Amino acid sequence: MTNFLKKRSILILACVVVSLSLMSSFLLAGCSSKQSASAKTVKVAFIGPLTGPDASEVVGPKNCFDLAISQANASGKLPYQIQSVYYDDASNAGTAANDAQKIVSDPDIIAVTGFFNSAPCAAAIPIFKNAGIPLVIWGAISKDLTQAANMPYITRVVPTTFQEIQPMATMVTQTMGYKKWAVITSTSTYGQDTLAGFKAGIQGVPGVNIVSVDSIADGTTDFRPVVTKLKSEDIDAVFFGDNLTEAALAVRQMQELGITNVLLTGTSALTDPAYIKAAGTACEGMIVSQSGEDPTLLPNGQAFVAAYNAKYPQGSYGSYGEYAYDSTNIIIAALDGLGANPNPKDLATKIAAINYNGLLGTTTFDANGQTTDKLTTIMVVQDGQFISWDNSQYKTGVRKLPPV
Amino acid sequence: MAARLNDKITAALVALGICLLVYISLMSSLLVILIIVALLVVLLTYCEKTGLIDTVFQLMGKNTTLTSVIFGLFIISLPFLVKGNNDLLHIMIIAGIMGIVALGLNFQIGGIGQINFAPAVFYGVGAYTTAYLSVRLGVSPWLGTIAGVCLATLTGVIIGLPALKARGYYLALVTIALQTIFTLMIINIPAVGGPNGIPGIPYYQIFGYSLHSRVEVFGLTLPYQVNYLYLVYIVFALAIVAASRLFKSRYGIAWNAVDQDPVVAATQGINLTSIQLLSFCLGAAFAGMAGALYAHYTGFISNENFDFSQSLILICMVILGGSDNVPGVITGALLLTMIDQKLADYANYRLLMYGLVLIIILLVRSKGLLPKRIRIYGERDTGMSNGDAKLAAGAGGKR
Amino acid sequence: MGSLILSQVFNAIMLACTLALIGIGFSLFFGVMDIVVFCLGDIAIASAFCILGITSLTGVYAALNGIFPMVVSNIILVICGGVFGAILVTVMYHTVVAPFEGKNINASLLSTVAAGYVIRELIGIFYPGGRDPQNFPNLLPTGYLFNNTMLSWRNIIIVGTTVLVLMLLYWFVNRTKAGISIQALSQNKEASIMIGIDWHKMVIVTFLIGGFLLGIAGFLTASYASTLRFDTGSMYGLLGFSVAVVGGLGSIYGALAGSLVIAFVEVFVTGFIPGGAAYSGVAGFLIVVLFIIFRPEGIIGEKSISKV
Repeated sequence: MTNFLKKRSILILACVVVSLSLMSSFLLAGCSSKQSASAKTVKVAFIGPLTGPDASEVVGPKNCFDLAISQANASGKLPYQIQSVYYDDASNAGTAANDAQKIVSDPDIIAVTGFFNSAPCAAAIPIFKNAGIPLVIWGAISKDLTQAANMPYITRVVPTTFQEIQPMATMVTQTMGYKKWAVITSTSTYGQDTLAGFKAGIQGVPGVNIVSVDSIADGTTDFRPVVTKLKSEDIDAVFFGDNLTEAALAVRQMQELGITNVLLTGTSALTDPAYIKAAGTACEGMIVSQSGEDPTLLPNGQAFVAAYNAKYPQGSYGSYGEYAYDSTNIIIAALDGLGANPNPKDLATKIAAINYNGLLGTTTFDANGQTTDKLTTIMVVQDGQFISWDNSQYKTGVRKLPPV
Repeated sequence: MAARLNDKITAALVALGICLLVYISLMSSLLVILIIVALLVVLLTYCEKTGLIDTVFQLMGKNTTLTSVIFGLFIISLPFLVKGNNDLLHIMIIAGIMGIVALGLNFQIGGIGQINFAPAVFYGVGAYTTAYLSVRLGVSPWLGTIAGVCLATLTGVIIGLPALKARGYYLALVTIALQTIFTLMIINIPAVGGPNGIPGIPYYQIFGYSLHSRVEVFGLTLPYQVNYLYLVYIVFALAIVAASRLFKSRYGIAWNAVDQDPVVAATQGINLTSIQLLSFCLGAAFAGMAGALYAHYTGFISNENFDFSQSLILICMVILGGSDNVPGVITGALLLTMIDQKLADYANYRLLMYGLVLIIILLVRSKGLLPKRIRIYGERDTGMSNGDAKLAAGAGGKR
Repeated sequence: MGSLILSQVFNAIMLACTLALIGIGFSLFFGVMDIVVFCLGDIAIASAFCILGITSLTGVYAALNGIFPMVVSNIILVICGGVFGAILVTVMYHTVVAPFEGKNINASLLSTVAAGYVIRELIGIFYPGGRDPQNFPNLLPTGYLFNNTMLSWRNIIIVGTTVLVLMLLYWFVNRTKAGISIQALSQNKEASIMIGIDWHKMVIVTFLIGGFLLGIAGFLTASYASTLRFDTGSMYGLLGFSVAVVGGLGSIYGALAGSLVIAFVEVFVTGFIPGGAAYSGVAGFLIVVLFIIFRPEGIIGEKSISKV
């Protein structure tokens, strides 16, 4: 009898659950059907670490992307309004691969611009390439991302780490004559890439050699064992290939252990006031290279800065904003003339062959899809500020770098 | 006869209800899922108090054919139910893959009662083996998958050996240490991509048909995820059958005996070494299979997919769902994957929510949503009524 | 070469000092309660954030400096961090440890791991700019003894503090009534309760002392690194647990010995093997695995785990 009662109550329970569920699923279906009713749309996707450790770096590029899209929509030169969609890779390669799968499954998305980090970019490239969706990279600078095999789908407007480090490496080794080098870098993608870039940069300069290379995991705070080792090796200069925090700590610990008469060099990852704040006086006289140029000094820069400041009164365009702006405008320029129903494959071919005169000068892509515009600036820390090498007191000789 | 029919209808209704719950959780926002979880906790506690839960389990156990047909139909019709939404299909695929790993992990946590903090190592070995073979050496993905399962099983021996020596906290530390070493080694070895991971992993092909192509049915264009959904859930179904059979087999009972008291188990003639290694190896084989599926599904793997936090999520699935209970583990895998994927929208709060949900569920139901059940022997063969089966269980009858 | 080895020995001792206190925290809790609280590393980091927070409140810090001389106000700050650690540990005890006492250890293991996540994420979300690395203020005096760069005053104070804390702990555990009660509890809980030791009171005392230790450990680590990141707690805690196990879980001196072993391995792999920096973590954890397999009772085995 009790058994029977139990079974009945299960039956009732199950019925209640089923009916409740049915009701709510109909409600949900009603909600979702309202959204999907629109004409032929053309979407351009922006992908980057909108959240996570690098989120603050991507605010500027994202604004610049929005700025370029809204300018194009306002001008009315295209027969449709471009819709912008955003994907967040959170600096994580796995997330980026998933995002890329979502992007290629959406038939409305015609082109993508994106990536601040190289590892997520590398993860997504095969997916875009297989699906035939053009990707214009504005921020990821690992050399191998652009390859002839990926053409015409993958192009990049920003110089690679190799192109970025080359002028500085030549200057400090050939012109200034620093011979014995040590490298402190990170085990991350970025660290290994800058290491390769630096090796390539000093290759062929007679007498220059690297006596030690230390790759240290990101998040390490104690660099003293490595620094102590360097102290015994009588080096002329150190190249830092890792990120801001790690480089700042290593530089400080070098000062603390009394290694003060060596030249310090680094990558564009360090050109941030936060780095100088963290490293303190230890980084005085450090030389770094940075791709691009201050937009206000560029021929088309004034108009961009004015438009940006009008739309985003607070917040800067960041180190890569100019590249995001140009990459978006290249997509828009290529869309012009493809009619009301553009095809990603035609678009990719057109982007690869483009000759675009924009913010950063004239952009064309070589056989690998890499920009031929290699604008870089060498900077030096003087009185706690990054200033251009050409304007510095170190160049004029008022201040002295460590002896060779 | 009428009663029998009534049973069938009830079982079918319960199965349908579960499918609908899954469907609603899939379609709705995070808040709704959390409400569903809360309601589920209340419902389950109520059912346990009144003993209803035993009746439900028996009903479902008697009508396995019917219920599995319903679940199968649900998965087959899922792409149409979600109108080909690739995002939702992706969640279900990941849930299936996680489910396979969790079932394997359950052999250790539920079976021999040892928390293994390194399931992501097995998972990663499977993925990396097949990725390396198919990308660098051009081996077919299917052969790569088999190699992945084999190598993962071998890793199971390596990680299982310290487990023979250490238990409890010591085993926790050993496995955490091995997990950390695994992640560090992947980053340090350039041959497996180092920090860059392995991109461009080929997709599965069946007689020249790539699973990575869109499907057109009834004038509806479905994303390629549909193919993988079916593939993953076929493997998942096989894993479920294997896991339930293992649970009922001599090995499952021997595992539980080791969990209860290793010394008593050894005196009963159980070879502790081989039986514990078996639980690690089988778990590793499951995880290796899932890892290979994952690698050939996303086309990209890197060390971040197989780190300590991934292991932790897998452990949470087993513990929260209910260790040593196959339906519990599946529930845990499905629910947590959904919560995890929906939390992606709140990235800043994701880990905080994870921690809080875990603590709350541990406080409310420390044994999981569907806890370990009392073993009932012999019920299937003799068709004994409810009361007889319980009597047999009480008397310790063995099949 | 000789001076290089000496310098690296100094580096290893410094690293060991930052690990020893948290290792002792693990041993203390395990000795009394037979549990491993996995979120201790996060508690230590949270205490360091507490000190950082007070110093960044310019009004409070200036007022402190106005009333007391620099040294005293800095000591007050460190004590604040310790008290914060003690409070946090007590809160943790009541929320994620006590409910699982006597039940399956798996539940308490997971709940403390989850609590670690919660602490870490709360810092990341609610501390201003908490997800970015923070510069930890230099509260210890600068400068060098004998103009030797290894003997900076900061290093000397870090070693000194660790030794002082160890001695105080030795005195407490062996010479006070509460300390002896705690020892008794760790040896035989039922018998101790029977002879009238108030178990709950002793547990709270242990947690307060352990929490204070963790606060100081967090301060020393942050001072030594001169930076503070919200997400280092889990690795710090893991290393702390490792040194406790390598030394012998439950033994205070074992934790010190264990931290020396791990620190020497990590520093020497980094310092003397070319390209070894990338493998120092691997080497450290390999030592842990080997110890558990071949000598599970640790260097100073106070308690054998082979119950069979």
